[in-house]
Amino acid sequence: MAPVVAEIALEYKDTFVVVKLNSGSNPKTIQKYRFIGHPTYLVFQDGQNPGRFGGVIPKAKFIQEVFDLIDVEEN
Amino acid sequence: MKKLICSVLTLSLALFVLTASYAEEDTDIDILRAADVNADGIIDILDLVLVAGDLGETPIPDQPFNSDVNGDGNINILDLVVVANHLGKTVRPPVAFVSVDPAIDSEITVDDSITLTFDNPPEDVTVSEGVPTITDNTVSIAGPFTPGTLELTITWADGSQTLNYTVRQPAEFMRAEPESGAEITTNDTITLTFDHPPENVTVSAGVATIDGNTVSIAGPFAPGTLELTITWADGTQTLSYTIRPFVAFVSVDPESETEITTNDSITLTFDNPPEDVTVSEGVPTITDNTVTITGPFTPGTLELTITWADGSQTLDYTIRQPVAFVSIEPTIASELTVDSPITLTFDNPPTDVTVNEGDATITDNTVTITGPFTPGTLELTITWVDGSLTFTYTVAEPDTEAPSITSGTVNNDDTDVDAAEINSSRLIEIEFSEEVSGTIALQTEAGDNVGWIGEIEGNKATLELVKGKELGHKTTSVTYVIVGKVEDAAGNETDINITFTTAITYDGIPFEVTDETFDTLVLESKLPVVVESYKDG
Repeated sequence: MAPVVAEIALEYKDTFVVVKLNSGSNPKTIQKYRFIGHPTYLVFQDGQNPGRFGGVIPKAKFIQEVFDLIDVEEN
Repeated sequence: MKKLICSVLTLSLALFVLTASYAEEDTDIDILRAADVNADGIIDILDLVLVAGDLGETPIPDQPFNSDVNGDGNINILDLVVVANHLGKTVRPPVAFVSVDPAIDSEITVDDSITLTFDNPPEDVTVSEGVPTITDNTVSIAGPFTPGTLELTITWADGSQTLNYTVRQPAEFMRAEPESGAEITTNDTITLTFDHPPENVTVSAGVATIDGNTVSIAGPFAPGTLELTITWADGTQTLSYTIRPFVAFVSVDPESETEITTNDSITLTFDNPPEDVTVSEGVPTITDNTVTITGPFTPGTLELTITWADGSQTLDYTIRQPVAFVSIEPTIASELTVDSPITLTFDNPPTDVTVNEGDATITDNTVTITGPFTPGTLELTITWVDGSLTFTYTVAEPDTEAPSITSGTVNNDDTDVDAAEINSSRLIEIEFSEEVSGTIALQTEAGDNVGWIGEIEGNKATLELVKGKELGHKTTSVTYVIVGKVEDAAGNETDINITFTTAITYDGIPFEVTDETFDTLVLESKLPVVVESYKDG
């Protein structure tokens, strides 16, 4: 999965940012935003969390999930 | 009268006949003088006439002619007989003392002669002391006489005379000091020694003082050749000298009781060129009227005695080591500011320091000269007790211009700063127009210190990245402010206030966020963020 996410991140670097959060060493954030299971993707925009998705999904599905949650007009 | 004269002549003739039998007998001189009634030295008819004229008279005392020839109180035929008995005889007149040389009561020496003069040649002369010699009317009495009081009695046929003298030993010249022929000074004293105290001393030059057997003759004498004649009661002596000027000490430089160095020279000045100069320390050099004494002298107290032909002089000094220049800061011929201090170092503490510009402060072995100095070429002369030096500097115009930023890794109001590159180089540099000192720091826009290490050296300020304090840029641009204050050597200050904003330089590869960076990198991101949770292993 990592190479796919990295590929997406590179491809859409001007639209959104992909970051990683180690659930084992960052309990405060994990608990606050309730990251459950792996992989879990939480989307943030302007300090808000519009939604999440998870599981191993195809690249196109991943991109679609993201675009469904963000306001792309700004970009 | 004619009858009387004829009677006398007749009587005289009869008496002459009667007495002719004893006319040739030696007769007492007193009788002959009595018979020479008119005292003309010849017993003749005139004497008879005088007696005959007085016959029968009583002699009257104190008469010019005494007809009482036999002195019996009567003038009678017996008186005529005495005269008649010596008719034709001559009568020697009485010898009287006239004068004596030396005068009575004067002082003579044991070998002097005393000469008496009589009105006629004296006879039967005897003296109580000495040996008389009769020549015509004079009697010379030669000694030796016994020193002391002399009561000299001279007796001759017609009388005696007592003469009083004081007899002394004659003074004979023995020696002179300095000896005749010597060279002496105008102020020297010549001392003559006699075997007995001389009297009536006179000298042809100088002033004579008699003390017992010695005569001291003090100058001043005229320079040149001196023919000195000393005359005293018993003789005269001539001495020859060469008179040279007396040499007197006049002055000394440096003055006595002062402090000098081991290598200093001491110069004495005399009123004339000194001779036979010796010194207790140092080496003397004579030039005309001066003597220069060169060291090295021994540090401490110096009691320097200079001796020359006419005197000596002792001078006291304190000898110290000389103070020598060692170094100067800043370097000679360099450029100074008007307020730059100049520091000289000596091998010993200098004294009597003066400078032609600025103010000098002495601290131990150093002298600090502070301005303000006049802009331009500075010919700085420092003089101290042992020397003087001149140094040249260029004094710059006063620096009133504050340092300015000439370049830097970032400039004020820069945006889109490549933070990744700065983080990679770990350094932000700012260069100034001149050397500065001061402080510099990297702050957030809110004024919090980011934690980079700020340093200023020379004309450059640096901010060095501390691990974990990297500039933010991956999800959002961040504005930072470089703040600080620097000043140049002249104290001109410049505030540093450089605001720059990093560019978002996301590289497309997911990067880690943590509890600590989540808010900054995720919530404050200008782009939407997809956070993928994962778990190691």
